[in-house]
Amino acid sequence: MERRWLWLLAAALLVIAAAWLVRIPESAAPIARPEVEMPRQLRPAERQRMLSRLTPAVTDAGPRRTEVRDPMLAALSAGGAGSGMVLEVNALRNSPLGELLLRCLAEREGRGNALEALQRMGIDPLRDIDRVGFTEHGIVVSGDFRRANWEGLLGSATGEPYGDRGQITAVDPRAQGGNTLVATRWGDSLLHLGDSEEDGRRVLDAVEGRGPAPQPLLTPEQTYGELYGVVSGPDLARTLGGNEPWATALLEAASRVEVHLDARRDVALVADVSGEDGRKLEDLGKTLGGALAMARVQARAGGDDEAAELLSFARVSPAQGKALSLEVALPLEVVAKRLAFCRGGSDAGGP
Amino acid sequence: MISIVVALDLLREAAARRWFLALALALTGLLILIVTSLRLEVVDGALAATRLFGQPLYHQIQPADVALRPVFLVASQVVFWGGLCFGVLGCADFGPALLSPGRIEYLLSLPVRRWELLLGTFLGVLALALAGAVYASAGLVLVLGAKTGVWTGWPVVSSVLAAVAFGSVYAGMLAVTVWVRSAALSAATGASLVLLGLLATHRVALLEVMGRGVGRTLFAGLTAVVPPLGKLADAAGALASSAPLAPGGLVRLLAGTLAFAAALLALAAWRFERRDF
Repeated sequence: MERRWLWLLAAALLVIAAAWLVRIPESAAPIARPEVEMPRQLRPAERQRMLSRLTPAVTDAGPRRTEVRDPMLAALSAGGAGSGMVLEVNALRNSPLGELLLRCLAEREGRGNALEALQRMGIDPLRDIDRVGFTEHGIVVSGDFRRANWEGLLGSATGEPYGDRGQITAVDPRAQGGNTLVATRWGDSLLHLGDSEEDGRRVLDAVEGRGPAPQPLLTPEQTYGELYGVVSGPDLARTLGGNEPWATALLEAASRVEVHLDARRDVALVADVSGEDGRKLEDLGKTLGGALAMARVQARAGGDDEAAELLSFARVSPAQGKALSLEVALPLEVVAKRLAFCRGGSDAGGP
Repeated sequence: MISIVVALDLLREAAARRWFLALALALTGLLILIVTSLRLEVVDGALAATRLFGQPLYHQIQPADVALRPVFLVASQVVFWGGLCFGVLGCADFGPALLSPGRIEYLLSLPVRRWELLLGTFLGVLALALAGAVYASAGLVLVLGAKTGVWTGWPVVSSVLAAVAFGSVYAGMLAVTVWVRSAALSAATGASLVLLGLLATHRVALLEVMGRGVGRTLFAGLTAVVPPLGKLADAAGALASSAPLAPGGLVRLLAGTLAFAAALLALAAWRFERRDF
């Protein structure tokens, strides 16, 4: 065979090889970077849930208000609470993070006894409870309490009637010399655990629509995510308490932080921080951005590529006026380790 | 070795052309503009603020390497597609110049094999494309690295993909030139191959919507062998922006592209060997 025909043969073979090589199977196609959906607004299912929770005011005495309300949000707003967080227990039922968060929040608020009491009274937190809310005025629990053994827990099947559907019961003094626990029921769907009967009456007034409407802590449109709420500046200072630069900057700049957390799989957190001093907020944004970048570097250096990848989604939208927004995504394992103090673990509080 | 000498000769010829001088000056000017006009404030590894020509640019504060990902992604696409377009126009004349009357007879009188002439021309153009792509991307990496402390070599690797993609296109241009000595036809062939490469990227979807017939068969045959340039561009973008890539996929794509280029060069060599001058 002449040499020049070898070129033609080589060309034919190479074309066949090229055709085979460039047909890449799907499994070897480029992998898309994982997407993390940040909780920024009501998802369709959450909107349905929000609408189903709205009920009209039921009071038959005093000045009437005609608007519909979410009883849980009304109860949280009672007493002019400046901070409040709501955990969507029902939505987190199948989430491994749910129970841990519930216990942790109770532990932080020093109300662990109240949750244990709930279990003793026949209320399964993972089955009967819809939401748990926390404010400085107590814990508000919503759900289906028709099976609850009120007498067993509160010492009486009925309490002091108040309003249309309310009952207020003073329970035994708390262990270790605590104050009296006052349980306030609204029908079989809402329970408030507080320190005073006055708190209970305020909650029932707010839920049943008596008197002037309290300043809402959260509106129904803000009930997205599995954990959401607002924290005031002073409460934030008490909760953080650390001396890390970002915590200090946060305390100095933030007067109010609105938090929404999606914990269905990994944890996606959105925190909208507002403050009075735009310059301090700008500095806070830079400090938070730097802290998140450093955390990502540390995760990568520690070989935790998943955490590093998720932390690459962390971002701070800089202050436009008097607000800034923080977005963070974390793998479940990292969050669980961070909350290990709830289990009394030795790694509690680690990074 | 002789092919290298031919390639170096082509590079000397390119250096004398205004097109390539203009490209080098434009790239250098762009890099100098970025150096002098862009101010980046980095706090603990996060890109906290940006000023362009003294005006603040509002963007989210995030790790500097993450913030630069879209910049490198866009740069890689500019280098890839811009390089292809410039290369098709700027290099269309090298093949016809090689075969111009008087020059080809002189070259063939030297102790040089014909395929070495072809390979040398191809390698020279490939080196030219590689130099342009690497200069642009490495320059950007150096400038942004000096300003942010983020040092990454992936955009430079990505630019190599752009050069390889252009190599497959130029092999077709050179092969056509061996049949018909025309710079215009060479450029048209390059443009057609770029278009075919784009169509090959979406081959399956396009075949699904095409009715059965000769046109569909022809399209299926052509796009079966032409490298899917869109996928190569995606891979280049993924590399530049540190996005995940499936292991093996890029290697196959590169090998297929190189095989396609080699096939066209072999075809050109077959024709060149039997052509009289």
